[in-house]
Amino acid sequence: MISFEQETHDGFLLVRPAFNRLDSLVAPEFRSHIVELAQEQEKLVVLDMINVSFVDSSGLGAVVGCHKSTQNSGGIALCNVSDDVKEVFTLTHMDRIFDIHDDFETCAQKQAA
Amino acid sequence: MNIKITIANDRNQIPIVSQTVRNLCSMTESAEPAALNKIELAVVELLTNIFDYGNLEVESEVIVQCRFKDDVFTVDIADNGKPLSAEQAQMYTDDEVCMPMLDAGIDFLPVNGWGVQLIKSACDRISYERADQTNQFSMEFDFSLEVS
Repeated sequence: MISFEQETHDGFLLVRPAFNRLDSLVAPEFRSHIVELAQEQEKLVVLDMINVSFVDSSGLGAVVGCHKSTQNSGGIALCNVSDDVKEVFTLTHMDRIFDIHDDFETCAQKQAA
Repeated sequence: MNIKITIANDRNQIPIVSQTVRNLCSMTESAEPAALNKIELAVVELLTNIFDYGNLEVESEVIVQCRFKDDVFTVDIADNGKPLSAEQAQMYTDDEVCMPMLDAGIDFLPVNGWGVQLIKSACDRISYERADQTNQFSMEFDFSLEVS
């Protein structure tokens, strides 16, 4: 079972996975948890990836699936993404789909604007 | 360096083996950090495909071998699952990397099927052959090539 920390902010919900690999072993549980949260809160979900050091294609697919399922509530954005994780988004061109912020502050400023 | 790792048919082994391969490669001191991530990614994706689609028997084993020579780190992965069709083999070995079309909109983005494309993006060369009733993949990471 995987765990998350979460904080409610003005206009978005910050969700911080408390595990370091988003891969095929955890992707289905990750996706159902995030979609459920987004639908309950009806807010943009910002994934704080500070603890996540590795994402594979299953993990990426889970993030894309969450984004597709939560379009009505604002979708998904990401912050604190490591270079290794960002590369997976870049190789698949998903960096053009998602708002990816260097850190939480930048992300919060954008949401407040 | 020539190291052989034999793993049981158990998906939970994937992170352990992929991180072991990454650590072995880091010992060569030739790979940049970004290259190490690509190696781990390629090993994870290939093992995931083998475990998910290879029709392995419960008692099957998968063999991962690592070599380093002349600035090239090679990962060979062999399994005794069902052979790939010619079309599947070509998907791994042709030069074409097909990423999703973004113009079609979010609703049309795929949520799976990116593994092979990531493998091809991550490694410099990949080959496949069926020999001795075994699928034999070989992925090469050439550290003499300029990082793009």
